[in-house]
Amino acid sequence: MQDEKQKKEELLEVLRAEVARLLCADDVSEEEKLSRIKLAQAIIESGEV
Amino acid sequence: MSSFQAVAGKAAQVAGLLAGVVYQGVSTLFGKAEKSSFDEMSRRLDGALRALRGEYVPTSAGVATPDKTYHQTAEGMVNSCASAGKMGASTFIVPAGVTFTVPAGVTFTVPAGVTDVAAMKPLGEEVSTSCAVATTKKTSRQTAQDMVDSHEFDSRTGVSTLTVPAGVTDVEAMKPLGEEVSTSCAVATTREASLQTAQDMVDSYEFDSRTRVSTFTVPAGVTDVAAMKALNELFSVRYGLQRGAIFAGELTWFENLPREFSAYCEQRDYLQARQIKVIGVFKGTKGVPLAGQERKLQKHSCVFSDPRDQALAAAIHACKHNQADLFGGSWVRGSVPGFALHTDDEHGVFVFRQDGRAEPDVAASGSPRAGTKIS
Repeated sequence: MQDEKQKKEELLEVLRAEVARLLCADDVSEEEKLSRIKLAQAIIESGEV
Repeated sequence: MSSFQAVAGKAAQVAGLLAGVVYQGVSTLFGKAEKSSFDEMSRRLDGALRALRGEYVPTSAGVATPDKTYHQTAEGMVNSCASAGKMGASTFIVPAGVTFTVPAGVTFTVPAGVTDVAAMKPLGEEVSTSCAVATTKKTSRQTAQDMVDSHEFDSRTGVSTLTVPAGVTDVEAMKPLGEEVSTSCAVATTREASLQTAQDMVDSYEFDSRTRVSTFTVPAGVTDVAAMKALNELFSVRYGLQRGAIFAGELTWFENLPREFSAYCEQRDYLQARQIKVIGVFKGTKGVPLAGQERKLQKHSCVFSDPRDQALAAAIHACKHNQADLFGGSWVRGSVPGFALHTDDEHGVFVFRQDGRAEPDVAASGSPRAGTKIS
């Protein structure tokens, strides 16, 4: 159980890092950033991939 | 500084909204993560990561999920929304694969159906309200404008072609045409429909020069007087004249015929298209007394023509054959006693009323009895 929680934390850290990378990207417009984040959120919420 | 702090700091710089979205997304994931298995969480995360990297290409099935459809569709429509200027119209694109009431892949300009609650709700609630304002009034106007834009008029044939958008009833279509765009369009539509009716009758007209039989069809739903008015319109347009093929002052007389002379005029079923045969001037009847004309007609299994048929035949003949007079300058009697028709260049077809006066030297118009073939 403890092991699985640890794995989940690691996954979340990957997600955070990816979000950070996106937000810092200079070659992506702000609208595109927002769009991608919303899409990611929708995927997380709905589970539809 | 942790990566998460960097995220929050950068997000605040990019847009206040972003931070909220990120935190919400992450906290949502936390919440889900508590209940879902690691594998499920991993699967969702994989999709989210691809979305963040710009690698996620939604399939139509993916787009069609309720949550994403709700957000993405609304956002996509708002992003594509642009004012067309004219009539305050808005143009936007509905993404392919959308499964709610707006058809998939349709690009349209606020057509019928856009006011559907399913389409309006995400626009109004989830994203910007600027485009959601494109409500009934715009739809109504735009529908009218679409119809006007689709309208084509062939000045040679007088044929009008236009498209009424799907889902728009005739009355709904007329209302914006009349109220919100231009009344001239609404009038023109009616007039052009009338011209089309007349043209249909002219197209159906055949004249047998040997038997002198005129044959034509009046379309279903068109009364005799409506047909006369339509032919007058066409005649006037075609030859650039102020008058019609039938003297306008006589239309009331023709209209009252079935009521005032019911014994001599057949009752029409206007719901049915009707083929009419008329011999404008029955050979050998000019100057012959009434009884003699009747015998002549009977001999050929014919009867006196209904005056409405006489007039229609003469009008169509004039429209089709460069104002030619079907009656050849004669006065011609029909089935109603005491009346005869005549054509001149000033009035077109008009009616002679005997009223105690001596009848002119008349001929007779004849029509075959039902089932009779004229040889």
